[in-house]
Amino acid sequence: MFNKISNVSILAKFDFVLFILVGTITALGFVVLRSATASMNTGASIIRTQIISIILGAVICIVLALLDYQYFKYLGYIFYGLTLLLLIYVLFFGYGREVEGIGSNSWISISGFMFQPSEPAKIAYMMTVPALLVKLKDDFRISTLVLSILAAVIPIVLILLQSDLGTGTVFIVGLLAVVFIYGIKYRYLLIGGVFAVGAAALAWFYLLDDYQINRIKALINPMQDVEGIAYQTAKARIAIGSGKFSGSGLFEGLQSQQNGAIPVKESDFIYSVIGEELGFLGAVAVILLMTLILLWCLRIAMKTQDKYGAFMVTGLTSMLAFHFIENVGMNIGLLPVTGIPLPFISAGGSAMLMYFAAIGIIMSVSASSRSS
Amino acid sequence: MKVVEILKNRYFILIMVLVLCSIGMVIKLYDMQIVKGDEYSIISSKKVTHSFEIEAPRGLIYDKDGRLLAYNRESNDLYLTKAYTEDEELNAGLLMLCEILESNGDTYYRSLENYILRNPNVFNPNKSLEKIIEWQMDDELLNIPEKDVKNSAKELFAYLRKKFNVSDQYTYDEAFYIISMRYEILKNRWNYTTGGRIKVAADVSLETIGEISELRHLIKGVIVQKKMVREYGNVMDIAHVLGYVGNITAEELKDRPGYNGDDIIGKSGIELYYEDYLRGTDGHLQVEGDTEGRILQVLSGLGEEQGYNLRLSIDMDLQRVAMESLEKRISEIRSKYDGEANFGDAHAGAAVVIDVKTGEVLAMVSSPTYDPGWFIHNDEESIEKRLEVMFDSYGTPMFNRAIQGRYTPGSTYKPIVAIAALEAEELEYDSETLVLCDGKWTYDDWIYWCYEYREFGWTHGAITISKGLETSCNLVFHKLGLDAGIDNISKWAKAFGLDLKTGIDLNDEIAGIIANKEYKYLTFNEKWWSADTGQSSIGQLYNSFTPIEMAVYAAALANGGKRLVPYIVDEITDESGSIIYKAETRYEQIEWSEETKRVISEGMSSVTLDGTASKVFDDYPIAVAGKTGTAETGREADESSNGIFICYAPVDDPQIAIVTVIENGVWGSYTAPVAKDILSEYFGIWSELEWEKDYSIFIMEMEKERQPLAPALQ
Repeated sequence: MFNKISNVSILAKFDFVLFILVGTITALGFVVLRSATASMNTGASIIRTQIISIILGAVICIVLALLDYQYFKYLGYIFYGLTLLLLIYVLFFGYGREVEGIGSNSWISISGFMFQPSEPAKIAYMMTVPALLVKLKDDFRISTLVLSILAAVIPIVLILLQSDLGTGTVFIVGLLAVVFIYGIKYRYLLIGGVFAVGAAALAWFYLLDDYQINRIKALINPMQDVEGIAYQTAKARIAIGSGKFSGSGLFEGLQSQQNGAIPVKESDFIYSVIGEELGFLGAVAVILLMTLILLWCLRIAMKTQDKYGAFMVTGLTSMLAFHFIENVGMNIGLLPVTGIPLPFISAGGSAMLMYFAAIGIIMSVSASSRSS
Repeated sequence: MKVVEILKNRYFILIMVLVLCSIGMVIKLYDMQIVKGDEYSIISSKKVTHSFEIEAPRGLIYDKDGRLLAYNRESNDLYLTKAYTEDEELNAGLLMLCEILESNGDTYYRSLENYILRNPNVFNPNKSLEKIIEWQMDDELLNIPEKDVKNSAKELFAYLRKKFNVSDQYTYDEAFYIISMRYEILKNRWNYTTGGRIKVAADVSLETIGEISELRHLIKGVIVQKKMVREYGNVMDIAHVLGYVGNITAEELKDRPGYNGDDIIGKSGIELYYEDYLRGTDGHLQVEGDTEGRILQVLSGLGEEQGYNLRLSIDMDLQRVAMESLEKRISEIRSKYDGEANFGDAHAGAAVVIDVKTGEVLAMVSSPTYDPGWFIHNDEESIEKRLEVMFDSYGTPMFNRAIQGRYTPGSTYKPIVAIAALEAEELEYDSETLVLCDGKWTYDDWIYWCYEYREFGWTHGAITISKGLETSCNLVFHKLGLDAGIDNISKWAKAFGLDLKTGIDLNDEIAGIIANKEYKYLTFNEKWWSADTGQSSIGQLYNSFTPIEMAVYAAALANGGKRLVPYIVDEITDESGSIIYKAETRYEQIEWSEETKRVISEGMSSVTLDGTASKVFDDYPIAVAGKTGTAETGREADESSNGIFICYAPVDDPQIAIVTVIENGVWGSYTAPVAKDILSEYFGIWSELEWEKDYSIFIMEMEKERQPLAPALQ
């Protein structure tokens, strides 16, 4: 299989469709980000970080796309180990709870440059867990099962311990999708579901922080407390609604161009800026583009004959899909507020690199299935 | 396909979930944006968050008896917020605003006119062409590319007209108003946002506000914000002590973290020294309003807190008497022009009155003076221009002579020389020792003269030291000084703090200079001669002290050697009247013998009875100890000497000490009447002079109930 890949020219293997779709949404996102940060003091530095992240991300994406993803099976373990150490590190020395708008201690600050270890952890997780599952599928052993469960659960526990419910859910969704494709029987899923409901109830009463509960409560009745989190989501919804069919135009959004109206408008709530300034047209265009990208990725997973590739693509795609659905959902008031950004659009360095890395890996799988 | 088979293709299920989610989101968006879009738009236009600062009113300043000197008045400032998205509407609104302001004679910000004049339409001649080109290219402002830089104001004006979409229907004048305002917006465009605001006019008239509110539907986005601004009563007499306030400059901003660019700050006097107490704490407010700045709901905020109130030790009655007497005396001396000693050039002076028991400054005047109120009623540019003139011109009214002027003490230094001789252990001077004045004395090849002998041919004979003080015989003090030596004299002058800042609570105080070996060596790198000691002994040579130092010195002579730290602010209270700070009497004790004290006291008392100031204090009901001083300035050929007088009273139980100085005041005794008037006011003895007592310090009952918010027009 390795040999076959090398026989086909690079250009023929390269998944241009996916690359162009991602490029389009990134470009659109960058334009919106310019508008969203125009009124902010920190606007210029946000834009600078974003430009660097996009360029770096594109490079990482292309490099990964050209690599043979089979290496990740083994490299993944090392990468996984490293990210696990970082996740333990942030648990004790993490940073962010005291910063407004972050809410969880999930950041590491290295001489002013901040990044979230949970972002590389997503990639490492999706390199490693599928590899173990493939092993399990080929040769079912209890030891492998135990190892797989540990590898799948430990990062989730560590992230939930950081009080980062949103990111934890990203991992859970990715894991579920992989396990689903693995072919787990529906009755196990049902049993798992019952346990999950029980766990959720426990979490509600014992594990979740007040601010997390408030966010969920705010979803149920957003107009209730004007000062708090619901007020912010209300502002976001007002902004989107007032965009009407074609929007106010970039740099002209009444809510988008204020400071302190739409919360974290450069990141978590950038979709509200899209809704207000680009209207229904722009908001639907983003949904359409994201859906196309995700469908294209699932198509790659379906087409590949290699189980490892299929699991990995499914897992990464599900993570991206969850990001997308959760972010748009919270912007339009369908889902509770979490700090999950909108892929390829929200400002943010480490997240941006993670999306591009995921796309790079998916493209690598795509390339190998094309050559076979 | 059977359902079971569909479920078997698990990818298909994932795809279905994704597509259904996407469809669900699109449906929700359709509902929000298409169905309820108009509804949300209306809500949105009323959900604009405006955040702004509320500048705290400054603390009030009272005199000793609670008369209000500095207070606050309500004023209205105009701000613009971004309410328009179309240039046409904005331009029409701005023009209307300018016309209202112009018709009511209100000033507003017109920084464009720093570069282009309206009539004639030329570049501002005060700015060099390079500056104007630089300004045109400034990327924060007009950002005109180098090749397109305009060489004439008319071309630039045409360019701006186009840039700001000012339609041809407007006349030239109208277009200028619009462009001028648009330029203000451009300059502050980072704050000219929805919910943001920029200031375009300060302290506008109520007529303007009325007209704007009537035309509200045509002039959108104008916000009126109330603010308390400094106002002074009739305070010209106390200008130098009180000081004044003004807009913070870029330089001051650097040294003062926590200030904003448009804050008001104390510039001099008490207003500057106690800035931190007077300033108060600014409040801020976050409100929800419409795009035009109308407040609909207060979201959060912090009320402003007025600054602390100060009570001065200055007694305004005494202060006014001191100033009026000083100015009256100066003009009297001028009118006595004789071309020999008096060249009619007396023009300035200072007086300080100090409580000898506490160190309170009861009066401190410096003439000529200025009106602090002028500085708060004029714009920055005129203030800058005026300050240049006021600092440079003859008479420099901005200068507080009482703490910043150094004057040669002349004979007022003689008590120190007497103390030095009396206290020197190696010498045997006492109250009975006679010193011979035989008119003329040669020492170290230097001839010393008695002034009276040289002028009138008579001598004082053998007299005691206290008699020496009374007659102020130079020869006696030359002898005493040369006997005691310069080191002794200098030691005693230092003991009275004459080369130190007194530590009064005012900025920019300077220290005096004592003539001694150290000073001569350090300044001129020259050796000290006995002739220098001779000159120093009669308060000449390098000796020069500030009036406040002299006042502390006179007070120490009066109170048995307590060198006080003078102060002006007696008490600081908060709005509820609780005391934040209370001044305390601080001093250093000078050790000297009772006999010396008696000699000085006797000598100085007889100055006003039989001595150099006896004519002034003829039959005065209170015993006053004084000493006149006529300080040669070295330009006696065509300039009068400076006149100085120090005194304290009553002699038995001294209460106040006074220093009066008149520049080119001819004789020390000429300045003594000022001190006498002050004493008469203090002790309530008025004979020949009638002062109007009913002068009005403008007292305002401050409205305690202030509006906590600064709402836009209702």
